[in-house]
Amino acid sequence: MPVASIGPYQFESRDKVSNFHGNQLTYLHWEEHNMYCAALAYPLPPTMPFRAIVENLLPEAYGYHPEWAKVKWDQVTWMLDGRPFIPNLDASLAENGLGHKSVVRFWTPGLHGIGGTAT
Amino acid sequence: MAEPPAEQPGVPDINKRWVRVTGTHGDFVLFDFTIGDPDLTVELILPFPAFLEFCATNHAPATVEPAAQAAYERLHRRSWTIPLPQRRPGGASDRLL
Amino acid sequence: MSIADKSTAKPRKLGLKERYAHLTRGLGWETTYQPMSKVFPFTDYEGIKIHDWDKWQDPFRLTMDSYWKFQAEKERKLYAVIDSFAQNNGHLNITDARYVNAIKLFLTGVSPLEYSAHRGYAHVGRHFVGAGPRIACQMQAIDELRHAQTQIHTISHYNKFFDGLHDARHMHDHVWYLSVPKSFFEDACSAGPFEFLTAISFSFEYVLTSLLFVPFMSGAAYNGDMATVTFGFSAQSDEARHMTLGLEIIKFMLEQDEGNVPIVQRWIDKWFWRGYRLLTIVAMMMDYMLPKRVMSWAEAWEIYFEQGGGALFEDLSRYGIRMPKYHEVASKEKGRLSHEVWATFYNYTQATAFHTWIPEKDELDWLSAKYPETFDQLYRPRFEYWKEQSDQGKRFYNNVLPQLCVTCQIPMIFTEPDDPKTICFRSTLYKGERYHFCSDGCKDIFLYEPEKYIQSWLPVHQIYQGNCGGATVPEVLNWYHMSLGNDNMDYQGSPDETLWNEWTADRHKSAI
Ligand SMILES: [Fe+2]
Ligand SMILES: [Fe+2]
Ligand SMILES: [Zn+2]
Repeated sequence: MPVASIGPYQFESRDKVSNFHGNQLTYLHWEEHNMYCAALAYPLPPTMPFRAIVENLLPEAYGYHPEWAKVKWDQVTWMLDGRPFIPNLDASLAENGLGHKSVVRFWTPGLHGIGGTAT
Repeated sequence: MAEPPAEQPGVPDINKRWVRVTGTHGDFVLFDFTIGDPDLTVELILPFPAFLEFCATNHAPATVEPAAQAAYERLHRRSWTIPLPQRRPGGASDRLL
Repeated sequence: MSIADKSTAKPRKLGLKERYAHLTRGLGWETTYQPMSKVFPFTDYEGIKIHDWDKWQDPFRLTMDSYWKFQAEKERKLYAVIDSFAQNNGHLNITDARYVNAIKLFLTGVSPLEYSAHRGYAHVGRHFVGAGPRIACQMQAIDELRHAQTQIHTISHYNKFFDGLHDARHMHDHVWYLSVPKSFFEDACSAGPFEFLTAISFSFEYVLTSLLFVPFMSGAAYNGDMATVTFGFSAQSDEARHMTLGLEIIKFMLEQDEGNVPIVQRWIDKWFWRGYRLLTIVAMMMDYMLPKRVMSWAEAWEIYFEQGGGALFEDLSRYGIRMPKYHEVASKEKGRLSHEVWATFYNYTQATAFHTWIPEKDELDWLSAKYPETFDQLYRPRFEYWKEQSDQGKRFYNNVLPQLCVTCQIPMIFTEPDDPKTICFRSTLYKGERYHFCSDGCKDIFLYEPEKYIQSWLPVHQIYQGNCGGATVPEVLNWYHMSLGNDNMDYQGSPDETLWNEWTADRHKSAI
């Protein structure tokens, strides 16, 4: 449905990928650990290997959490933009199917947040 | 044309305060609070014990609108006979009614 | 009749009705040398059909001179009182300096909206055809300007004693969390005149404003903040007129043409949801920021929306209007809203112009009692963990920027309507690009007018595009005009706390 307007009304997205200087936006979220109040937003080069998310970004962001050290990576389940997903750690974000403003959510079995409260 | 300047009336005295109860809602008292002049009135709501405390700290005499009289008195009576809300097990609500 | 005759003849005193007729006389004229559609270009394009503008009856019939006299007299007293409080060091009578953070948020978040409202009403007052709505909007434009003015006096007063209020205007246009109220109002002001009135006069002033003003003013009064109560005097007495305008415009549109009903319903749905999302900051103020509590957010929602609003929509049902879409989601959220939002600001206090803190034990107990179904089960352990860490010098800060909702611009912190442990993710593709939303309500609003919201100025994305002064926290805060280490961070250890303890040292001594 177009906007009711007094003239032609068409705009470019303010967040189109070309505005991010070669990066694309990626949102990461550790499920059941809402002490981190929302998914985290990152501008990342699409050529970056997925491994860098797991080995650099996530520990930096979530390392403070007492359950972080207990994550068993071989058991983690992933979701990319609403679909189940198995990342290839050595492939790039683009090769893994991550596009601009993709959402990556992951679950860590057995870890349900502080006191089991999804914190 | 400009009207002759009105007589400069006194500045409202901020230490003169009044409260007028206009209604109740569950355990809450709805009231108008005035400082210094009837033009300076604001509509407020507080739980009954907080309301009493508020009137006391502001040295504000309270009147009750006739329409609110019965409900206000009920709240008043109840607050003397029933202790302040305690948390009840099983998630029961704190409503006294 | 000669001029001399005229000046000596005693003018007959006009009645109120006559004076009003003179005031509005000719305002609703039919143009002759330009087509009406050119003089009033905004009245048709929203699709609202008006057959008879004269059916708009102004119930107040306030004339300019009586408005002027009445408001001038009220304002004179008001400013005298503001001065008295300032001279008597009114800021020392508040319960605790933590309280001031609620005021900081209100004065930087909401007060600039009074000014936006002034502009919005001045604009639509020009663009309505009928004299009734034009006069009502012009009066309200002046009211809103007065509200902005009195609130700026309160800013000026508190700015002398506390951090975070030195540049409210600049902050409103730059700071990440203030983009929420700013974009709310810009959405309304960039709509047509009928949608604007539905948004602000009806949904905001009529349906939701008592949730903002009554509990907030009660909190101010109970916590000894008379500087804020003073601006309540000025704002609240005008509200009766504003609320009436809100109901009038709705009934007028609905009565004029049956075809207006679905349009109005869609606007009510949209602006209920947008207004409700805006009120999340009020939820947090009531449950977390008042040292002496008034009522919980859940109680306020029950009293002012579920009961008050329920009756209103029952009344409107004879026009074919139903309750706003997703009102039941708002009710499902009432036990979590304030906790989720306070935790969010706790996450990111390094970038706010106010302080946050962990509630004291008795305050946690109050929350447990007020939220018997959610607080202990979901939130109390979080705050207790944070407290423990903070006591060991490891206060939690979230160092990565959050994902934002494209519509309401709030971080995507809200949980699934039926699962308070899982964040609610909604998204859509528009012209090949992904857009994310905090709720079905926000997603629906986008889907109806995507071209409008793809322009959203989302603070997190703007930082990453390099438009906010730099890539580091100090650079961005500098761009926000925030003073690092003073305005931001935890209340504990803040300059506000230090000064407050100095000022009230005597109070504490005499208490012991
Ligand atoms: Fe206002
Ligand atoms: Fe208003
Ligand atoms: Zn949203």
